[in-house]
Amino acid sequence: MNAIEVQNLTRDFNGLRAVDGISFEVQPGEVFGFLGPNGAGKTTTIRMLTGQLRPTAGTARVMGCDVVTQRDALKPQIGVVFEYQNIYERLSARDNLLFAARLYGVPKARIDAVLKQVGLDERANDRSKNYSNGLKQRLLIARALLHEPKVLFLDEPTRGLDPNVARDIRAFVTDLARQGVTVFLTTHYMEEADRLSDRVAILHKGKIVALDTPARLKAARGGEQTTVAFSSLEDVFVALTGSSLRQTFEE
Amino acid sequence: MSTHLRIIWAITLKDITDAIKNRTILTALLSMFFLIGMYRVLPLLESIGEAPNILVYDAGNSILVALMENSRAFKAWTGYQSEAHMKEKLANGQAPELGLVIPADFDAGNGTVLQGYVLYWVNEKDAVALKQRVEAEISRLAGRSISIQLEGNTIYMQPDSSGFGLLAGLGMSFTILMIGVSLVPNLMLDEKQGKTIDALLVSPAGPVHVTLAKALAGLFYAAVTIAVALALYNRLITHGWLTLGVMLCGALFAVALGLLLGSLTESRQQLTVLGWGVVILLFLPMMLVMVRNLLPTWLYAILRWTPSVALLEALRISFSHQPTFALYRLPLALILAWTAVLLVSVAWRVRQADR
Repeated sequence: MNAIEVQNLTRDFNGLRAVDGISFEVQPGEVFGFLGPNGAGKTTTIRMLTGQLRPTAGTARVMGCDVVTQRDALKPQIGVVFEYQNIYERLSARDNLLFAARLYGVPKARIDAVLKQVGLDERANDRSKNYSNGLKQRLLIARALLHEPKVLFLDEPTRGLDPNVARDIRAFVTDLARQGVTVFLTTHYMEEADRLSDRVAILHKGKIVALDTPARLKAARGGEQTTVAFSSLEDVFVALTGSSLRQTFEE
Repeated sequence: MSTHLRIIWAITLKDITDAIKNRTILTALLSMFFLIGMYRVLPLLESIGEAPNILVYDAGNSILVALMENSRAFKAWTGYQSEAHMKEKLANGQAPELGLVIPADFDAGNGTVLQGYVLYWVNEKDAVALKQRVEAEISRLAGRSISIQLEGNTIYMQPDSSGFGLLAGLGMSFTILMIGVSLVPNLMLDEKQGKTIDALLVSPAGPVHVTLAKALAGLFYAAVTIAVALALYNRLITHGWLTLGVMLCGALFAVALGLLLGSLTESRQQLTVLGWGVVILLFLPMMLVMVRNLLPTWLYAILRWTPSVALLEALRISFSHQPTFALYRLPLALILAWTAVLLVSVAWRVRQADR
């Protein structure tokens, strides 16, 4: 069984097509990079795959659960790290996790394990409002992992973090993949996608314009215009989407 | 079932513990306590240093009444057509007052023991102090020893009595409704503004769990406020279970209103604007009902259908001596009907917002 199966997934907003009939599969334990400029439909896709948004057309299954009709069965199988730091800032990391543990019916003993796993054990009882961005991001990851999901959705997990924290989080993703967790990753950092992802899909204007391993994408010839291989995933991205990463990021 | 309860309880518990650290919620709660306390003590504070009111029914044409009207020891109110009329007015008292009956043959030297009346909520110490003060003054005025008989002469409020009962009803209604307008929507807004609602909705919690949990947290705050109100007004309450029941119905309405406001607004600015509109719609009818005698009959008939007036009336009925079911069934049915309408609207909003 594939971890994620998407068939002709489409979503319209007030007549505008945000996601346009995309199809792909993600294998269990795979790190799947999902790239695209702002407004390409990445977050909309994640919202559909995590049951937050109903597709206009098409189907999606995560761990065999239909994201529309089997949401209750889907939710315990997935963990989501959002692109924004949506934690309860008046609560400590421990209390945030205690709340999540109660929601998922996870034993409290697991909280200490996860806190240690993400390196938050020493600040666990501090009010999370006082955490740095890096610590908050660790808390988000801890919350997403608390119930040991089979599929982890990471939406821009290293955005705005200092290089050391970003490196820790990348190492963390690699470890999770080794443990068999499927990771669905969106990022603006091509190097990150290149290094972490087993396969990469590039989304442009709601459509998947490329889907392959980073190595194959780089090796692919740029159509009739060029006969040389791309030197980086960023070159592939720019060639396919027509927008530079810097421009995309600044948008 | 147990999973659903666990999820709802988890969110409720989080909201309750979070409130202790949430300045907005804490400030709102403390404001409620202040408000309800203010309604309780303000009438009493007003009467401090003032001569007490004595409502005198003169069955004959006693010279004592004229002397009492000029006394500085108390403020004598006279001119009642009957003893019943005097008692009816006494029931409208805001501070400890004494009702007194001067028998027709008082000037002939009869009647050394006068019948005196106090409201049931006046504590015994105050009643005795008032009695002794009036006894001393009228003994001096009459030139002979007069005593006042209070035992067995307790006056209870009627459903339409004003005074302390009306003020207490207003204070309680205002506080309960403000929980709905200010506290409950803030619980929902907090989740929306912090985007923690997204994390909730990818967890096993669904929109229905979130809504029910917020309702429970709102009811918890309402219960705390109701407990404070019952403690502060305990002397006023004659039928505890009925008053509690009415307040809980009011709390249900307030929470349903809060949930609807929370589901309709996305920011504190929106909530402030909408909240004030709702406050005016709820409180204006209550204020108008206070001057009921000045209102056209048709306007009063309309105002009675508003949930806030129904709550106020149900509370006043619960404070009265004999609150029969026939009296309180209409206001209670109205509150519950409004609650049902609001809950249906919330359910519709939640369903609409669900993806």
